[in-house]
Amino acid sequence: MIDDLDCKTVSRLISEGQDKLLTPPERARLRLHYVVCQTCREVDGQMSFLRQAMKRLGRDEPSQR
Amino acid sequence: MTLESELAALHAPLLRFAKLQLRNDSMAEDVVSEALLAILEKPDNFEGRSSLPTYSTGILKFKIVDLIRLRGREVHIEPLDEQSLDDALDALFQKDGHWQEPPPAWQQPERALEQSQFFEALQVCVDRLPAKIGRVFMMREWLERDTEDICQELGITANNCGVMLYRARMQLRECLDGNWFRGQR
Repeated sequence: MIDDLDCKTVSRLISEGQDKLLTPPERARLRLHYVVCQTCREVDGQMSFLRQAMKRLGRDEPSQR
Repeated sequence: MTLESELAALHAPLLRFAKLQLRNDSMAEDVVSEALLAILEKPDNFEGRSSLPTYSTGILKFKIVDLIRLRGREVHIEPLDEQSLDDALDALFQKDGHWQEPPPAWQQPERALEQSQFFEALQVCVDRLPAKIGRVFMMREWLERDTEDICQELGITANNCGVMLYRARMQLRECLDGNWFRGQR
């Protein structure tokens, strides 16, 4: 298998993965890309962080005021 | 402190959340009043199981979801011109699909979650999203609803929904990078 995904496609797949379960081949291709691309791996983490932060935006913020 | 005075302190932040979601001041005021009334009518349901801010935000979320359901198709969201969305996203990448400017790593993002200033920065970024994209994104991430439900309710295609969420996430990532994490480096 070769890393045939470009970073733009990867960023879209990361977003899709937050809304639905990606197929096993899609997940495998993403992981292969992460092996060679640290930037996209980082962006994946940032997107997960964003989701976590959004949940807390609703939950915790009133208590801090 | 009485329940009333505790709720009084929460009124402003709750209203801000409701306005952000509904983008309609009078509706937001109504829905916050309904949520407060629901809490005051059945104070036994809140027995300190969670904090009052958490509890009241939860009630408010349900009320907002109800209201959106009730309004149904009145909430008219025009499908976005996918071409213009693509153009904005294209600017982030080179022609061969590589990052135009590779996003830098974020230092200890988990620490940001402990800081109220971070949530203020996040709020500023969310407010900057185009209205329609912001609503779809808030329904997804804040109300934590299924993408399928959101598309159906707003009468937009799954693909359009996906593009809107993608754009919201990319824009927020950029905004947080500039508004928060760059200052931490």
